[in-house]
Amino acid sequence: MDLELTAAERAFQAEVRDWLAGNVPAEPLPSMDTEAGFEAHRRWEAKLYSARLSVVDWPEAYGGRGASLIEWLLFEEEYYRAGAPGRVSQNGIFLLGPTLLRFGTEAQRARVLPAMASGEQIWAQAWSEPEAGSDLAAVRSRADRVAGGWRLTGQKTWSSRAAFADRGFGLFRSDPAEPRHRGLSYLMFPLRDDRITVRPIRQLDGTTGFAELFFDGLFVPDQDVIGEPGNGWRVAMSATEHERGLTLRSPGRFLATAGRLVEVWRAAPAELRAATRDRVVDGWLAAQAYRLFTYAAASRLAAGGQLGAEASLNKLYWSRLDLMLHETALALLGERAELLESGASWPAGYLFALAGPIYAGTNEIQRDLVAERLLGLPRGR
Amino acid sequence: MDLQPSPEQQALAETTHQALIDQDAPGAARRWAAGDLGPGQKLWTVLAGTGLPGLLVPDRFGGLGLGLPELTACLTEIGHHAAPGPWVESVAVVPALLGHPSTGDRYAEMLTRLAAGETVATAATAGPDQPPLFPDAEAADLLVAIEPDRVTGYRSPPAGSLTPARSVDPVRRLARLSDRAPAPAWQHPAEPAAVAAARAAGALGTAAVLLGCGRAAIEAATEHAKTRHQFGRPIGGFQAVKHRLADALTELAFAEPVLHAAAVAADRALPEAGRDAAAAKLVAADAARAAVTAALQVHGAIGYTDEHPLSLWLRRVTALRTAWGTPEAHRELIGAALAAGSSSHIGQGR
Repeated sequence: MDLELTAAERAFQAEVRDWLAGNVPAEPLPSMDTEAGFEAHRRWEAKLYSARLSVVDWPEAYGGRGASLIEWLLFEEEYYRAGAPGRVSQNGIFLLGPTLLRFGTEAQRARVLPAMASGEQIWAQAWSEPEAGSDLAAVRSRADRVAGGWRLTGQKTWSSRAAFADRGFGLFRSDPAEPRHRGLSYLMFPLRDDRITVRPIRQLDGTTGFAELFFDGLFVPDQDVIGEPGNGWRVAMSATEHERGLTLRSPGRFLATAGRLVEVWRAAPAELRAATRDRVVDGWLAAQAYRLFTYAAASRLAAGGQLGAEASLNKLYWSRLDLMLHETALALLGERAELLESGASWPAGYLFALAGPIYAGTNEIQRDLVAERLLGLPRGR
Repeated sequence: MDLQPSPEQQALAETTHQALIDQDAPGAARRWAAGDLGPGQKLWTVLAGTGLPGLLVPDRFGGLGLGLPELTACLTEIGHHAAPGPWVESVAVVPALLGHPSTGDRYAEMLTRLAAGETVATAATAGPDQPPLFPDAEAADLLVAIEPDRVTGYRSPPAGSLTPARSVDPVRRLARLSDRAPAPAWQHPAEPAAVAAARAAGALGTAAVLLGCGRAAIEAATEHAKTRHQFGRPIGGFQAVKHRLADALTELAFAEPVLHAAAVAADRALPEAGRDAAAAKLVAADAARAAVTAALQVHGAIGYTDEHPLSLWLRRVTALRTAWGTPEAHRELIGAALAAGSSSHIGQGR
């Protein structure tokens, strides 16, 4: 066990820190859930890419630099510490990208990954449907075989970034004779096409971070099926288990939030400071615990180990941590906590934290997975 | 950076685990609580063969010269199997205090005897209005009272010189020195750094035992949930039960790496080692309590019986929550560090 950084890790960390210090916009970019803000975030992705910092852990051939998982975690710590813009390319680089690296063909990788890494193509995910939420295997949207490819019909919903993104990926039922988890295919498709309608949905926090998608015979060529047709469930789940537990919400994000919380607390009047001390201590400590757990998991993976259902532990922990940090910050803002412009967006951050226990698989589903796969309790609800 | 346990750590923990199974540690704990120290002392002798009592003792005194990451891995097994005896005091606190670099060779003889398993020590903090309350003093031949600026040693107090005090955990046989106790064998001024190291070792050792207790409670509850049927199916199939255990497991899983990192900080005497040990004890106490209370609820009434093994872990977790630093004191300590601008990560020097 060694908690010190190697010389190479330290050098990488310093390079990232220096570059961010010189390049992070002084003023926050407009919201990525507006047309202008989306394009501003796309330009930021291009800038990151030009410094080979947009996907550091990818192979060099696709725009990365072959960094280790530990280095990627260090990158994330520096990124959030510097207050750099949110990643509009998140769905692509953290979900579809790793899926293609594992299951894609060489031609798919060459076609999709560099354009994803540079922000030229921004991707939206399309998992949920009106009748398939936590029960994702109940998807009904269809991919029907036609010459040279597939035609998509049906409806997807809660599709993050779809309002302004270029392309999407998700699960479609390609063999209606097969039940549930079988007969699904993992497909990539265009979002800007006459045969798809994108209807943005206004969220609780007032933004249009997600959208409904209506497919009306949208054509997908064979080259845009990932893995074998009918094997989509396995492709999708492998990627989520192995990658999402680490990469969806890296510790850097919460370490930065906890650091800001401690600063607000230190500047608070003495009485308020005393009244909130235990919650600040617990929040700071939970962010540290999340960091250490994640680095331990990355160490295991680096040594050839597996992650599996531990990803569910991660999700349960960070979603609660995020709420804890924001609730405590609101307590410190006192009566001003309801003002949206108060204290560097803590109220807006709180609203977003409320979504944490829901997206990326509800925490109830995660608890089922922990109980069944880590404890070995009987399956079922 | 590599946060995996070393092969040495894993091997020592595995050896301890196996010895505790062979010696029926829970059975020894029951006998210990009833006043029969024999099986617990035999267990001590067996573990002395693995080097555990001298794990932290420098090798020039015959110890293994290893560190707190290895020791906490073994102490987790002590909790896991509910082994009786002053393990935290004898193998963590006293070696950290007497073997501190500031003491030179002053305690060479005591450390040598500890490492050889010939001396069993216990220890307690003390103050002007707070006489030391020693765990398992009757099983120890060296009692060490730790005050902020001095340490006092007592040798094998004869029967009748100890006043028992009842712990919520009967396996912890607490005692005070009575008026008839002999005079101290020695008393020395203490380096603040040595006292701080001893307290950190106490917090880390206790955190390790707590996590072991928590793990054991979840294992027992999981087994029960798989085999106990109600409404025609195993109760472990009900989400209310699954989710309770999943939450408890989550707490434990995130407390463990904090302990590992804090043990590294203590080993390397980092500036924030005290803060980090407090953090480890705090999260371990909360996680262990969540685990034993979830386990109790999953067991139902059978878990509330004295006879059921769960009682060993539940009562120990209740007692250890406030041993070697209360959660309240530790939150205050961490809060003071944060207020003073401390910003290094747990386990790291900067």
